[in-house]
Amino acid sequence: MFAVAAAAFGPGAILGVFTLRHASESGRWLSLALSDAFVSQLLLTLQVSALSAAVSLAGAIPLALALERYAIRGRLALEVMILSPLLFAPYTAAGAWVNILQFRFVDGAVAMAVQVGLASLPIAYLILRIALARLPLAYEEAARVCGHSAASAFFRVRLKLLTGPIAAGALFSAARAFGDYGCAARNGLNTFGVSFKQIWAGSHSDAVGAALAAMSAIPGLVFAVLCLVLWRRFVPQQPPDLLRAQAALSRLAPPWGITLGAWALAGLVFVLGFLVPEAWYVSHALDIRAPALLKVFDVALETFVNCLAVCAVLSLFAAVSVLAIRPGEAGLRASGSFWLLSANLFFPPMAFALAWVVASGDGSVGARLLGSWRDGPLLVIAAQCVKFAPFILLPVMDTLLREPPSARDTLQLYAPGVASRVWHTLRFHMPAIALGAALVFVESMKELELASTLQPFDFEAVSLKIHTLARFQAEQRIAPWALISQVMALPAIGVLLWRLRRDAAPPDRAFRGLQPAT
Amino acid sequence: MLSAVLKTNWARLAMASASLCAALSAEAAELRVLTDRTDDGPIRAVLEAFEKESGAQVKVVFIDQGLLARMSSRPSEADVVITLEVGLLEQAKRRGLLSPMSPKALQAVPPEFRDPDGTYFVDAYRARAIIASRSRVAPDAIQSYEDLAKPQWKGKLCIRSGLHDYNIALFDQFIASWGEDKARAVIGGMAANLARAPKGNDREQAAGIAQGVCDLALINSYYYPKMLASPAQKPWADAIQVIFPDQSGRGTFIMRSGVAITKVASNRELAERLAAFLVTPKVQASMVERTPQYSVLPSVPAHPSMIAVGKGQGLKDGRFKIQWVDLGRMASSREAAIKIVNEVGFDKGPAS
Repeated sequence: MFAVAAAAFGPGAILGVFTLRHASESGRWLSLALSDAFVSQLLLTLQVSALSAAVSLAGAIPLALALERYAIRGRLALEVMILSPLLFAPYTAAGAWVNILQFRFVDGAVAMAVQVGLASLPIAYLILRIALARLPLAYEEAARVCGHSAASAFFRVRLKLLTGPIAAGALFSAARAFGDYGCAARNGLNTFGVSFKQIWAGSHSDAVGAALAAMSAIPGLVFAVLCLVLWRRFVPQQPPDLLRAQAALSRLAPPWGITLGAWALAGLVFVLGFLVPEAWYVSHALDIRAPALLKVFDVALETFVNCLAVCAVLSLFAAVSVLAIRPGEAGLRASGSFWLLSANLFFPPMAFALAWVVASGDGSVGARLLGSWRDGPLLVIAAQCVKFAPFILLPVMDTLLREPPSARDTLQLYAPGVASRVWHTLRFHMPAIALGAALVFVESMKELELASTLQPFDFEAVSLKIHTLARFQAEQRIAPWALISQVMALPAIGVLLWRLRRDAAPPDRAFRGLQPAT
Repeated sequence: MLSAVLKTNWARLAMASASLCAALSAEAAELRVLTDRTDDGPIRAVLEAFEKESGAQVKVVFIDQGLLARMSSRPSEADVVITLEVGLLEQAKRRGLLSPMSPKALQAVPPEFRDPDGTYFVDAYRARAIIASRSRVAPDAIQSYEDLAKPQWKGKLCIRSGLHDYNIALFDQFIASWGEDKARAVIGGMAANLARAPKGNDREQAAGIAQGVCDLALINSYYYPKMLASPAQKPWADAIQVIFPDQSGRGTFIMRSGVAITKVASNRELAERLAAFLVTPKVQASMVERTPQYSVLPSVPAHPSMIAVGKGQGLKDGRFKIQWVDLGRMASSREAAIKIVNEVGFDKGPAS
């Protein structure tokens, strides 16, 4: 819990302390920053965040409901289409759209919200789809028996039970829009992220950066605490017998309207979030020369290794967490506090990076702890781990809530030895860890600001190459970098699809075949 | 036998020592460069050429944000800093992060492009130029930055955010050169003439003119040749004329790229060699061809497309008259510039 608290509040605290240490300078700049223009930019950013969350949920909720409840033909193809926007960083897709539409229709809050909302939609879909697979229909059916209409039962029971997952889906989308810089810059929108960079770079003052960043932590913390409250209030712990009953249910044959609607919506997500930018980049990839390709593979390998390291560290952390936290009410409290980590997602990424720069400065505690490791890729990996921890901890939280409280006691009785107990516990949580690790891998591949600001000497990453070319509007030359990052992300997308297909597995699967300990 | 073994071991020890010495000397010949210039520009090629010439190993970080923050936090990290905004070096100098270079390293740089204390120098520059619609604006209708604030251009001006580094650097120069009152009037007048809320980068302002959104904009001069060279952006370049402001008056304000050596440079001699290498005619010519900025060396001609642009204004060899602003004064007026931008509601757009 100490590590979680340090990761959740550390960056904000570092920036806060830095701001106070330079109080006179920070105060002067803060009064400037709190001008009308800045406040209106902050409000604009909140508006874009809310719109992005709305776009993600507007696509994810109906698709998750339809695919969970009905046996729609072509389910695999549909889910591939829904997950496809994950293959693009919002700033990369936005770059293609800007070029395709020649700056027409791509500026403004709605355009950016659609871009970010589509990029985050797959994450919201994954969360909701898995939550729905576990949702006990018995409550809704009981409401119907008690006289509620289908709509009333749906809104008052099912949606209420989905409050936590919906909040999680909204969180990832809203946080991405709030902290975004790259997409906003391409959509020509002066959001908080853009203003932050401009005023920080324009003032040449770290105190300004720290002061604004410390301020930006406030909405993040408010949202994270709100999510935490919702999570604790509305997420039920399911008795395993209900889960078993749910798993036994077979999906219904869909009315044609549902099939058509699901295909149309998934098609729209696929075309806008993937196909059009993909076609644009593929058409430009045809001009690539062989020597350029060699360079691409070289950088891609370095990126792959670093992303894998982020994945491995967070998977290990998730594994240790599930072993350390007991399921049940205490587990709910402990796991819920992971929501606080999501506050980091709301930092403008450059501000988050600044916290790490300050924390690893010459003579700092961070620098002393890291030693010569500071000057390698370790710091980038560590910072990305903190940033992306919510992506792996959310599915793990979910399985901790679903784990039968008596399961560990059963293992104590029947599993021979600690290793066996660890193995069976991890086996139960492994699909969730794999899902989180796959998401972390995909997001780490697209991560830009931390890699840019904390990079050691001679460090290369695909996202940096994309950004370098985008800075000079050479989007045509981005093609090989965008495509190689997609190829590297494909196995992770495969893991996500596999996870979606096995989500209805009964929870006691991990405990099968156990013999009483002698 | 024993002596043979000893001989062999001594030989091994000697070889190991030699290898160690070689390794140490190789390590000593390493140079660490921190830059906010793009990895896609000429810098990487220049550094590779320097590696070949000097035999040293150059390690580089291309960082486009938080360069000063990183220098301040880790002052011992780099030997050489190369930046696209020399104002940043003035700030670094004030924080005591840089050290003066020897006269030998600076000898090729014309005095007007050197810091008076020799702490940094400008290795290239570009104009903050006005662009105007070829079809809708008469060639002599706009002569100066002040003209952009005239009421006749209401609703005609496109520009990127007033808080962007390029515009802050320009407004700094307004303040340093004209005083705060006149600068406020001109910046306020420009804000009143905006066609849309400031957005996008420099090239998007040219696109705005090509699409008829506005008639005037401000961009860095090197974007014009870059747009000409891009098939997708050539229509934007064809739709605009580039104007170097105040050529009959005090001259055009410029943006300056710069080079400096850090206080803790572990290999000063090598760092100074790199600094001097960056202002050799060959490297400068390559920089003009690829970026395409203006060289600080009078002997290196301007980019051909800039020469062609200059001809329209009667400029010789594409070189324009520069309005010089002392970097020390600029750095002091930065806060005032940001304050004015906020006070006039520059980024709010036409409604303000």
